[in-house]
Amino acid sequence: MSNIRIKTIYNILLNLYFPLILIAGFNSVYAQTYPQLSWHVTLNEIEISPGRKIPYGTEGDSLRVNVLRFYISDITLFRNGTLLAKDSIASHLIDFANRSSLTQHLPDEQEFDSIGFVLGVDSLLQEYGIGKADLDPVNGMYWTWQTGYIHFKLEGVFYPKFSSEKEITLHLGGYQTPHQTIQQLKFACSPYHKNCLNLNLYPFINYALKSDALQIMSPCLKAVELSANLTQCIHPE
Amino acid sequence: MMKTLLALLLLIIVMLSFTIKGPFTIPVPEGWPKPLYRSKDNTLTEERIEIGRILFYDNRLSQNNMISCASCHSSYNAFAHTDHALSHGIHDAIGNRNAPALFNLAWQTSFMWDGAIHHLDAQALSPITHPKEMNETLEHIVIKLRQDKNYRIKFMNAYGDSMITGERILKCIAQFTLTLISSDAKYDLVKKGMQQFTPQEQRGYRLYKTHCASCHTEPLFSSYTFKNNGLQPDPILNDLGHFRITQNPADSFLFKVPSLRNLEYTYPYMHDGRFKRIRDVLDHYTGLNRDLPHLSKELKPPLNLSPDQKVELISFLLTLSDKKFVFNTDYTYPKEFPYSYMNK
Ligand code: HEC
Ligand code: HEC
Repeated sequence: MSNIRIKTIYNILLNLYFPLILIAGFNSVYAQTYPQLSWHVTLNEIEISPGRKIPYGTEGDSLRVNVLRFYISDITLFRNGTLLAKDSIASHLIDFANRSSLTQHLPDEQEFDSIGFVLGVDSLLQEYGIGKADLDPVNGMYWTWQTGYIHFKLEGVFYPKFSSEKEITLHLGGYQTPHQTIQQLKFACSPYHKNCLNLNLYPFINYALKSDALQIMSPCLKAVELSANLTQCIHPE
Repeated sequence: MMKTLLALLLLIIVMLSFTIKGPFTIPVPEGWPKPLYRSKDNTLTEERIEIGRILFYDNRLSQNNMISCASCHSSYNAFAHTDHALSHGIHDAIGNRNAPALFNLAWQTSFMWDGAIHHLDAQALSPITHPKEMNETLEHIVIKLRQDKNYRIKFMNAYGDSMITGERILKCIAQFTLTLISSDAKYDLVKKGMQQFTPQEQRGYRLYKTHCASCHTEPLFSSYTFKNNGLQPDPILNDLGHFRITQNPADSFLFKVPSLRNLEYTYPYMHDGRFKRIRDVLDHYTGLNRDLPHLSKELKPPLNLSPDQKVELISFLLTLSDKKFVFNTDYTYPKEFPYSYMNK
């Protein structure tokens, strides 16, 4: 009796084991072949994690990032400068508090040598109103008092060693001239690797501190400047 | 067996044809320009418009479940808010501006007195989240409405699935407000040759064409551009108008030209609701200081109206009252929606 029971359990497990192995194997093969783009956010060499205070530079200052979210749109793959494929999803919301959003699957192309995208939400899309999924205003990335997406949102606190703390609220956006903040980026890359981009917030925050622009909540010329600076802080790893 | 299946299929098809009411095109009144509303992904359908109408009257769009869009935009006042110069929102908070009438929105591309909003699909987010209006988040509204079976059924019928999202909520509200079209005033009937102006109204019409039409342009009775009509800025509100959006000093104190349709129902007037009667407005236009630095050029030449002419102009303006619009039961609160939260 007990022998039979053990046998049935064994059989069930065996029956489950092979399909599971197969699925897992297939999954890993699938994940490997599908090209990806992923993001790594740092303060120079130091990894940033949400809500944690970390040293800022070498002078004893520190920084805490509470919110970091931004859009990338119109991901495009190129070979020798010609367009190979376009991502079917218009915009991705990258939210530093949501691990899975830090990686995007790219179109299934094997032979590309560079990748382009827009930092922000396409202005044509904004002319037409609001979008769904990552673009649903429910995500808190749409201005409430005026029209338009917030392309890049950084909220946190800067703690200088010798003076009192400074709140950082940077909501960068604007899609109409002269306050257009959408940035075009393009990087050389390899189709066979997990393409990883490093966003180093150190030079960006340094720039914001120097230009005394720690509080931006509407489209303006400062936001345009900061957005341009932001693109200088993104590099392939 | 086969026969019963077929019969069942037929029945389902017949039932579906009753529930799916289908696409809706914004009707364009005779002689009007084409609507300016455009959207990539907000196809108007009867079902979505109906959801928008229910949402417009649903108090759960506010944080304390007591304020709906209709609290400030009443159908009987051409969707303006009478009696309150400045809008009156949650916990009796007083806003900075007068709630404008809502009609013919499909012919506009800028919304709010200062043009802060460029697309109607995004507009509702503003009152929903405004701390002095509804003080709610879209996220929380989604949670509240997802719990409601009646909404889930409505969304199922409208979208083919019962997903209630922020995007859909906003777009349905936009759809309902797009259907608010006012084009059945006496003026419109005169234009169609179905009625005639009285001699007094006719003289008023001439005065309007000379002095007012450059900004309050026919047939919508607004150019929907940004102008300054010589109001002295209120020192407390210090409302800079269109400047807030463009940050161009030339746009200081400019406000969106409102339509002159339905004035009879939409008092008080101007962005801060400072005038209670049409007569006060005319006194403003005849008495204003023409040297004000921001005054738009259309109002630079002196404007003199005798008391009789004022009466004539008012009698013309009253031909723009659209009773059919104001009492249209397609726009009033949806009685059939079983709801304790509805704002009646
Ligand atoms: C507390 C009162 C209040 C509530 C509630 C309210 N509104 Fe308004 N509404 C206003 C005021 C005031 C303005 C003008 C705001 C401005 O110019 O800054 C306005 C402007 C508008 C406009 C722009 C009209 C134009 O001609 O530019 C639309 C459309 C509108 N509201 C729709 C809505 C909808 C839809 C809701 C519900 C989601 C709503 N309102 C809730 C007071 C309110
Ligand atoms: C320079 C363009 C211009 C001209 C010309 C003009 N207006 Fe206006 N009108 C405006 C603007 C702008 C507003 C809104 C001002 C504000 O609230 O700050 C307005 C507001 C109004 C309002 C208030 C409507 C409401 O819903 O609050 C009335 C009524 C009005 N005008 C009537 C007239 C009449 C009658 C004439 C002709 C004698 C006239 N206007 C000429 C630009 C103009």
